[in-house]
Amino acid sequence: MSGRRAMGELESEVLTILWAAEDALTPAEVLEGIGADIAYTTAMTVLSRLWKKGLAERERRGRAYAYRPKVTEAELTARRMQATLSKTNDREAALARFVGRLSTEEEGALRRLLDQMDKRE
Amino acid sequence: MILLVVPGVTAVAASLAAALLHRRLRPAVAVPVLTMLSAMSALALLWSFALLVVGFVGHIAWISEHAAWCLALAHAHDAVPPAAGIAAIVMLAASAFAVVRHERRRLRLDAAIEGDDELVVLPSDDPIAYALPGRPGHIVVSVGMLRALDGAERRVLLAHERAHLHHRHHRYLRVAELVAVAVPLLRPIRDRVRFATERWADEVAADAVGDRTLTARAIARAALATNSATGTPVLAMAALGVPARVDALLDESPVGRRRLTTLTCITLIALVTVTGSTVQFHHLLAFAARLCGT
Repeated sequence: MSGRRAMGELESEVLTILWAAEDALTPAEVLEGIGADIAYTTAMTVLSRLWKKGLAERERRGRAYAYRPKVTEAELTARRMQATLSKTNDREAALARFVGRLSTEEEGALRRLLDQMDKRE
Repeated sequence: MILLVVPGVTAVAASLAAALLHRRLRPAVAVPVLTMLSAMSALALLWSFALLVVGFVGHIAWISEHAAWCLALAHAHDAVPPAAGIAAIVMLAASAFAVVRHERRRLRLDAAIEGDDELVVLPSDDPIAYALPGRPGHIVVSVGMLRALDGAERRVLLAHERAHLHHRHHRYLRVAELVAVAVPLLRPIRDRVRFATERWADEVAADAVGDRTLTARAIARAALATNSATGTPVLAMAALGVPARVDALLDESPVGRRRLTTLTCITLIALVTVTGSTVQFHHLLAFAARLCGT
């Protein structure tokens, strides 16, 4: 994997953490949530890149900055698109979704599988 | 006359049979094989219908006078009875109509999002996640979905959607969808291509995060979150949905030997399809030769 691509993927990952959080996060808090092995300095670099790109805003918190995600033009477009998508039943447009809808039996089967996995750990 | 239809029907039957075996193949193999089989057998079938039309129309007296050369192409065959000829015309017209309508209605979202940042977050509490193909493609995820998963599970989600974009799954889905629209008989193959692209992305994600159980859990969590948020569940194709994907990730039994025999099977079926099509393509060649004046 090229360094540039890896950086892009890390940016996405860090962004998901910022969005999932209720509050602004410091690099240390981001490190906690990332679930992957990265260095503190890397987290700092990624966060400041996100800030420079206008994907996040930051505020001082003690000696560090805390970052929160920012709604961008692309996200506003995506929101409008979502409205269009939910109105259509074009099945191809709904392609490549992470998960589809479940039937009642499938839901039951999934809950059982999740239970099994939780027990195994 | 029956001879005209045999190759097309054989091809369709063979690829439907192949679709039943798709789970014995690695998803990365199943997707292109099934997509290609469905496209080829659709062409073979439609071409069969076209020959019936030629056989029928060509034997109508006033047309055969003006288009003797065309008739010569089909002269090896008997005149096609009107009922079959008209039925073939109706089938072809219905196919063409369905394809045109489908293309007109298709949403073109590719160019909708500008910028080249990979991730686009929807500020919505509904759990949503999908890959949006384009140059570059985007991963669209809602805040609701991000909050339904933990950090490691979110990495699975990103890896899964990235796999869709990186391996250009939308192209296979597009071909399979067009085929299903043109020849509704082949819809089961489209459904299996859809399932296999999801499995493919699941496997890539599992490799990326290095943990099959984690991958299975992320998919199960996301599916349950989506369901509880959207109310009434829609009937999904039994055994083709999320539980089957989760099962496949948790099941690590070796399928190597079965895989080999299946591969032979698939090769055979592919051969049948190709033969089925080539038997008919000599007509096309004759037609091309005529057009070129040889």
